[in-house]
Amino acid sequence: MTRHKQFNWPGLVFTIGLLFAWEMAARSVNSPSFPGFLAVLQALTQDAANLVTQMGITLVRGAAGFALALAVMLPLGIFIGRTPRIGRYVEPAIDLLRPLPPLAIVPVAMLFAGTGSVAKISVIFYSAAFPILINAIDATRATHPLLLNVGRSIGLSRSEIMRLIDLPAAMPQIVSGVRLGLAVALLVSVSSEMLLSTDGMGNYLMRAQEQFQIAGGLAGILTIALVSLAINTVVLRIERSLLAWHHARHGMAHV
Amino acid sequence: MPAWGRPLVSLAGFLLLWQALVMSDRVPQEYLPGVPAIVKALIELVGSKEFWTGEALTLARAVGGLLLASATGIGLALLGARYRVVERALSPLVQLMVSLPPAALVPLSIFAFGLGASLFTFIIWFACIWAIYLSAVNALKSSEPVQVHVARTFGYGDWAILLRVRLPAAWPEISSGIRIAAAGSLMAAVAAEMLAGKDGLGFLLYDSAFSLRIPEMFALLGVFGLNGMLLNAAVMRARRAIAGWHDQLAAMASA
Repeated sequence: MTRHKQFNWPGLVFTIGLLFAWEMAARSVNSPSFPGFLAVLQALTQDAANLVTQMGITLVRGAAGFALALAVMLPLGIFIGRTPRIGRYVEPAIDLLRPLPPLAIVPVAMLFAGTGSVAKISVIFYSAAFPILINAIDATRATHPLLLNVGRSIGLSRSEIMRLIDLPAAMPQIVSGVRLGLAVALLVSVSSEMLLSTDGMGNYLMRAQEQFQIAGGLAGILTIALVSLAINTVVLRIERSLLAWHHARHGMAHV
Repeated sequence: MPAWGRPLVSLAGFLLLWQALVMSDRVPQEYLPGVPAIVKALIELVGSKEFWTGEALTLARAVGGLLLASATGIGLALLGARYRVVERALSPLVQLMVSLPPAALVPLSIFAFGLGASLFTFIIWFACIWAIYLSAVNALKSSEPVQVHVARTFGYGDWAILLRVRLPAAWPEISSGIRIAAAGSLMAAVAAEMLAGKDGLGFLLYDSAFSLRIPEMFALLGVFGLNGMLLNAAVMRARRAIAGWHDQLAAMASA
């Protein structure tokens, strides 16, 4: 497990190289429509207070929609995955609703809830629901048959099989579904603010672009990306401690 | 009951619920039209040339971007699984990109790409590749140690193990990633068409919603659902062709 605690030097070197190439390219073009990295950093620090406020609004909405989706869809997905008799009928309906792009239901949400937080949170809930649901269904359905048979041969009861075999086998995919759901929630939180422009980062991006503030727009994008990275790092760390056994196994494969 | 019966039952149940909600009079009818009104709007829609042009454009954009993202995403993941330094070099960048809303890139991308095909290809590719890359690299990393050791004992080299042992074992999870990306591709196509739009189904939806042609709006949402099912069916068919053995094993165990 020491491998995971090593500092990611290749990542740092590659990222710095990329930023350097960007700055050099921008300097050689030298046009306000292609600002370099330093110009974007400058825009970022100049408007930092406003960016933090707007990002906070976006995050609170994203978190609310995500929490609702998690509370409803995780138990539902496990139930559907474990009950194929019901799943066979429910899954086509899921497949029918799932591909409705969350941004496409923005007009519907607007009709019923206006442009405020309720409309946006419903859209976020809708978008985060499906990664969580689909992964929970897939994960709980496809346990490796060998493991199941071993469990049966050594005389485990049904509840013991669920707890000792199905749950650990399903965990990696369930957790990656939850992680995707969280990513999508933040993503849609921003996007919904672009269409229902009242406040938040999406609105910030729209304003920046209307005023041809390309450096400002990139600063907004960078803020979203950095905050997402911070959230993802925390979530990954939680995932790793939950799934330490899983990573220990794949670590062995590289011996 | 034949295989197509269950989705039909599922769809009928959904439509019945919808109509019951409309007839309960708890929501204003002009916002939530009944099934007959939506079907009428759908028939009119299907008769118009404008609709088919939009449908063809949207599907071509989504499928093209998805294919490009699958090829590049799996290719990168193979490289990353083979040479860990590649995965680690890319990791900060991927973590930054994965939660960036594709929609947020639309206005800035218009400056870079104009309103042509390359704009949509870029946005949709961007929306798909990270989910595919992450699922592929995760699955390739978590190979069964036993399988890898057996292959090594048989004298397979690193590339042969990667392509003939770890990649086949990873297909089920990769196809789940592609399934999520397929939904993402339609969402990105529609989002880009709504924000940048002058054509495509996303533009038609935006147009119908803001002209308050509500039945047409819901009919278009139905079309989005059908498109998603179509794309999903195509992905599942590809999954059966490539990873069917995994599903057969799972089915045998539950028999």
